[in-house]
Amino acid sequence: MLTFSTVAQVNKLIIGRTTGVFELENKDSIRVFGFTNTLSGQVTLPGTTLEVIEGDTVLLDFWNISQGDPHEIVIKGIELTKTNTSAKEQLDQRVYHMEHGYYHFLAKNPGTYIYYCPINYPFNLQAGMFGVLIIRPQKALLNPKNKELLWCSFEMDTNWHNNEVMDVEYDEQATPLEWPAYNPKHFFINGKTNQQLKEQEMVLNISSKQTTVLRLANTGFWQHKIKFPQELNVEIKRTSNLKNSELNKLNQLTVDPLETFEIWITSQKKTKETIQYDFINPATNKVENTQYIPVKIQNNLLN
Amino acid sequence: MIMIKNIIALILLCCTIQLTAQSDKTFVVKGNSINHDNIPTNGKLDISKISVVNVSNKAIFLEWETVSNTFPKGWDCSMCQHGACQIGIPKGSIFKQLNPDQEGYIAIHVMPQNNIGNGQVKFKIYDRDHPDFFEIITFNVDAL
Repeated sequence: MLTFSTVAQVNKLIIGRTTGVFELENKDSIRVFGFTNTLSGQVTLPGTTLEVIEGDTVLLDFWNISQGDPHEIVIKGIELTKTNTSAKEQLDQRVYHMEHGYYHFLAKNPGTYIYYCPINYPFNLQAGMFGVLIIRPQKALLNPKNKELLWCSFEMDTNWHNNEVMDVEYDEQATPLEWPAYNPKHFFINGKTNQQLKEQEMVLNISSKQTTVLRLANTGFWQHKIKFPQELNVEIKRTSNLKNSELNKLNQLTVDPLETFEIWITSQKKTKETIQYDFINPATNKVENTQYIPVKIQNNLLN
Repeated sequence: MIMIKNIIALILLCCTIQLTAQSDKTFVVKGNSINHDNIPTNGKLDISKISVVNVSNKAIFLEWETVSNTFPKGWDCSMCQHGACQIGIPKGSIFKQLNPDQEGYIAIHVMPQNNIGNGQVKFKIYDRDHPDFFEIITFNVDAL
């Protein structure tokens, strides 16, 4: 049997920012922190997506071009080894203003992972310092025909995005950290909400002849319950979510904070339903907001 | 004769005004106001920095403007000022408060993205309360 391997040393650049601008649906701009991979590129939510292949040896070059508190990268589910560029950084694991921090890891297990800044947790995460790492299996290279999508969902409380809150150097505070009560009023999937989810780039176009690989990541603080139309065959391939790891009879799954799923979707039937995202407040267990993503079945010859 | 006296008086007056203005300056460039850096096209200019220092006896706020920027289009670059790092190189902004004797700076970062070339970016820095006095600082970068 013929096999091949493309294991490689891969370098990825992540630039840390604290002066990003994010546009809300009503065109209001708010300040965000975040991760990019260019010096002149605006911060996006989620930040730059890292893609590697199973078996790769990965070097993350984290360049902190921000002022105030230092920052750090962690990837949930992957142990990182860090080497530092300055004597100051030898004392701790953080990366200071205009320094590089180099993180190494072996991309051992295929899957979808969330990376984020754990400093001042959960503030920097809410501020926008999060992104997604995808480790593709070697065998995916043999079958590149599957269509792939990533949906990263999160809530946002704009009271956490005022300069008065964002400019505080918490690292130098003697008193315990305190932020405004978390009361999100904005709910996003890939940084889009409400009518924006009906735009072409967000509509889930499924071909009856092809499997669609959908990666789900929850970078918010609330539970996100996702209900798929019954006409869709949804199969969970991988998840980091040990507590809620199954699809229920309603074709519904729950993504807990900082958890991910990789699901495979096929369909032989048309549907008029949408994919429903419920944002659940853990304090009340109530659905506070619901977002809808349209579904279109293409090349449907069977129905 | 009277006309010559008037001209001399005028010259003296101008010199006095100039000296007064000089003595009113609240900040100066520390070291060289022009930086030159060479970097490989596939590399990074991690930082090129020019500092200023508050030489007055009170806190000041310095503003800056981009006077010119001839960096090639394919280059990826950004800058930081005392107090904030910018995405790209914008038209201008303001330093965080500088206390007496405190240093501030403007720094640039460049990734030429495999594009050979050279360019120059100039910034004008001035005291928000004394905008007539300013300093020009210059960053020259060659990607070889």
